[in-house]
Amino acid sequence: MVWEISRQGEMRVPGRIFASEDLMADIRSDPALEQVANVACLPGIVGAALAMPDIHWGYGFPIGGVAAVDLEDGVISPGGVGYDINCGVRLAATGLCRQDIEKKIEPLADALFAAIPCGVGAHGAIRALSVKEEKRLVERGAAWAVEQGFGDAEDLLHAEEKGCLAGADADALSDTALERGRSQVGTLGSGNHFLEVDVIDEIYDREGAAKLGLSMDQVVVIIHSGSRGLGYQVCDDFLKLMVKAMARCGIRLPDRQLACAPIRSPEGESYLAAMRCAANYAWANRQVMFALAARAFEQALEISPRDLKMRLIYDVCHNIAKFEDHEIDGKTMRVCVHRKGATRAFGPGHPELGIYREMGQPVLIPGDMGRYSFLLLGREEAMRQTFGSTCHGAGRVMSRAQAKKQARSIDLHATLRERGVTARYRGFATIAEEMPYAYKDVAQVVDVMERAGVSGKVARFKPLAVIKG
Amino acid sequence: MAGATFRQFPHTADLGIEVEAESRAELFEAAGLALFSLMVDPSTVSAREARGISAQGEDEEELLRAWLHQLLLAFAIGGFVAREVEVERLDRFVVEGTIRGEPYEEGTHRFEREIKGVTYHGLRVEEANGKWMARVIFDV
Repeated sequence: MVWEISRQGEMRVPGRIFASEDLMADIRSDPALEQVANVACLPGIVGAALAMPDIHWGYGFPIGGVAAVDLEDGVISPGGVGYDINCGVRLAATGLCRQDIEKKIEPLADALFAAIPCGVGAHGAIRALSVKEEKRLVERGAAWAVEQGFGDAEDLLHAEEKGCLAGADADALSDTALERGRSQVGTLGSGNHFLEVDVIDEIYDREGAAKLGLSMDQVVVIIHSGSRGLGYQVCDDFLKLMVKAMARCGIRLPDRQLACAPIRSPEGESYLAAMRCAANYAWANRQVMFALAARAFEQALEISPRDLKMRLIYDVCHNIAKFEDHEIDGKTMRVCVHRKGATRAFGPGHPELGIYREMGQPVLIPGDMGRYSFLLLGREEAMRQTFGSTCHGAGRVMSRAQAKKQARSIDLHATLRERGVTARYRGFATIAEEMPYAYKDVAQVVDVMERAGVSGKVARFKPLAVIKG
Repeated sequence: MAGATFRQFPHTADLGIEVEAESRAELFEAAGLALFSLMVDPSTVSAREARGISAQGEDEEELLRAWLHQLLLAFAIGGFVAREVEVERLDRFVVEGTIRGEPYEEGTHRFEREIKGVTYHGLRVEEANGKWMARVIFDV
């Protein structure tokens, strides 16, 4: 169902929320809707300020929002991308099925946990990079990782933007951003990041699944992570700069947290150049972890890469701003689409999709660690309704403090084990805050976008092992 | 630092804290301690080494945010965890102090969670009736 906030006050376009009645009740419980209306006031915004069903309030922009702006007189806002630039998800299939790993799940979880640190403090899996090498990484993205021996060139065809956004300029990064990133390559991060070993437990689109080489009980690997300290620092650096830029450009908005600058301004161009570096760092990082995970599987299960057959299905980002062509009021416009907690979901026929052009774009939607995650395909309708976007995940139902409090009275390991999940984690507070009861049911979110015709389910994945930072 | 406290306030996705103290300097110390304790359990940390920290800001809130950001970097870049935070100089635009702790070591220190950033979201520093209060939201 689509709800509309009609244009009023300083809004330049309406607000449009994709949600069921049930989800709408949740959505009304925090200031997210007010934020959608504020986003609609951004200079250059076109179409509508969109909200996905997993929306909740954030910094200026709500999380779960999509906003497209005209390139010439529109603004770019770091708050419309998020702190964790290119926080995204990667799905890899293997040649294994549930029976192949069931009895070895504990050593497998141990091996994955040992192979991929969370990168707390200054520690990482890969030796700290020189500034020169790091600058190469942020301009090459996932290709840098392949060059270092992590995965192969073919993987790049199975990632959004082939794992590298053009227009990245390492000179736009502050020394602090580079410093924060140099020791974190190959690290997972903490919070809602994870690496999971799942099995396919339901198939909705037989044809789509067959084309992707997916079948029931197949073991898959899901990695959810972003641009680590480098990305967080870019957001920090530019939020500060944008507040000053707004004053200089005479931009006045109902919420000063919507700090932004015209795309065609030094600050706007600089942010885009830096944001692209951070996005590329995240893609490189997910490529490295993907390869490290494969090695851990081979070691723990004592099998060869040929028997493991780990291959990348797709890699998507859900915190990003991209220049894309979209049809608005009957004409094609090049716009800058902000997706903060929203995923690109281009439909069949889109030239950007490369090998997936015929079937539509695969979209990975992670749920909480106790229930399930979904693989979807983007549909034609997405291009018409949501600037080719869909939801990104489950969304929380309780605060971290509440979740942690609740965790005191239960045995976390036992609770997860009841759901058949073997967990390994580093952050004691994190695991409590990330328990399944703290999250909405992602199936509800995914179903809203399916009913809207924007994206369709292909398969469902059930977690067997979860690695958390 | 008697009388300085912090508590978490409800926020769906991130972590909000409210800090109270008897003086502005103690507010900065308490907020700094709150940040470190949210990342690593201070009872597992020994105050073996000291590091100097300084920050600047154009107003009350910006100064506190900049201070907390520098403390975050001491951990994120310097790999240092603190159990004591002391402010030595605090005027309108500058804060300088010392943190005491040691280099982070997995296994020794109990890691709680990663803090990605100190946001501007709902940032407040207020004084009323001789008491100081601050609200900060950390991105996790």
